[in-house]
Amino acid sequence: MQIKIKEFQDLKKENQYLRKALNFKKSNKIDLVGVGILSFSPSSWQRYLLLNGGEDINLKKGLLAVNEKGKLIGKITEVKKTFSHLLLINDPNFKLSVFVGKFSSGLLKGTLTGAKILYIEKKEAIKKGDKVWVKTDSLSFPIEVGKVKSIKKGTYQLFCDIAVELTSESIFFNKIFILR
Amino acid sequence: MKKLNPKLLFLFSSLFLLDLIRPLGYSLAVEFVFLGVIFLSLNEDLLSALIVSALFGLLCDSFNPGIKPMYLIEFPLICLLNNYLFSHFRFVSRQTRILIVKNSLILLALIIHLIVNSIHNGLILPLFWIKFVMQSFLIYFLINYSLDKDKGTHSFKKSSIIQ
Repeated sequence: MQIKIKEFQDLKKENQYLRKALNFKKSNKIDLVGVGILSFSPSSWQRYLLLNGGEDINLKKGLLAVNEKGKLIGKITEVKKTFSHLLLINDPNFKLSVFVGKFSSGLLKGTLTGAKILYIEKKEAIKKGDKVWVKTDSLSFPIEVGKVKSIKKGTYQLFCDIAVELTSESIFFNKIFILR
Repeated sequence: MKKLNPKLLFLFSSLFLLDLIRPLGYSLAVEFVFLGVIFLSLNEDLLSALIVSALFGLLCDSFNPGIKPMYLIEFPLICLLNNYLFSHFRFVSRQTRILIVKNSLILLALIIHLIVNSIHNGLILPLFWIKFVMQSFLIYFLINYSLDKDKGTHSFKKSSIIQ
């Protein structure tokens, strides 16, 4: 009886999870595919996942991955026949061109414990709490990455140091959705 | 010819599986296989420690998307260093050996791993370093305690190498 109850609870949870993803898909009319996680990186100094899906479900290198709420969590870096590698935003090797606020743009780089934005000039009007987002040619809408956490402007520096608070910063992942 | 103990391989496979599954996600900054390598270098003979650490170093590298045999080189080197340093304290009393020498060597191995990875990633993260060292120490002692190695009741030493 208890096993049955646990099973129903799990099904309910999964149902809610997929419903959220479906809402995101419906509201934006996109080609979204859900993939399972095979394993995490064995190293604590890297942040990547091995996904249960590759060329067999038309995954390609560079595709972005989101969680059920539509927040960016990483990008695909390697695709094999039946599995692929997903680099998470906070991996030190993660690099992606992002927008900050309305018009500013910079390079998002993972720092293991979070992320930072590089190459934003000091004169640009960016303030704490500004949205960090990404938009590609294949997408008609922006994907949220996070918010500006802090801004440091050194006297002799050309660019400012911007720390980002990631919106998808979760330690657990159930299912991941790839934007094709 | 010496043979590897299947129990040792089973222990390492379990540790490797824990690294892959990560039951607590990335909130736990611990590498179970690396802790296994330290345990092996301080408690087993050099040859079996080298073979097992190289084997699991290769396995860890195979899960890395970039082709860099980092662990394949690092794990056996840590084994060699720990074994070499530990052998120099052969004449110290047993209690001192366990309390001071072993703990210092565990710390040394953790710091070497930390430096290697920090240089590789080009990151300076003091808070993450402290978290890594403290959690690794704690988990190491849990592994050590569960195997009851220091009380001499553990069976690895007796049956680890079958001649």
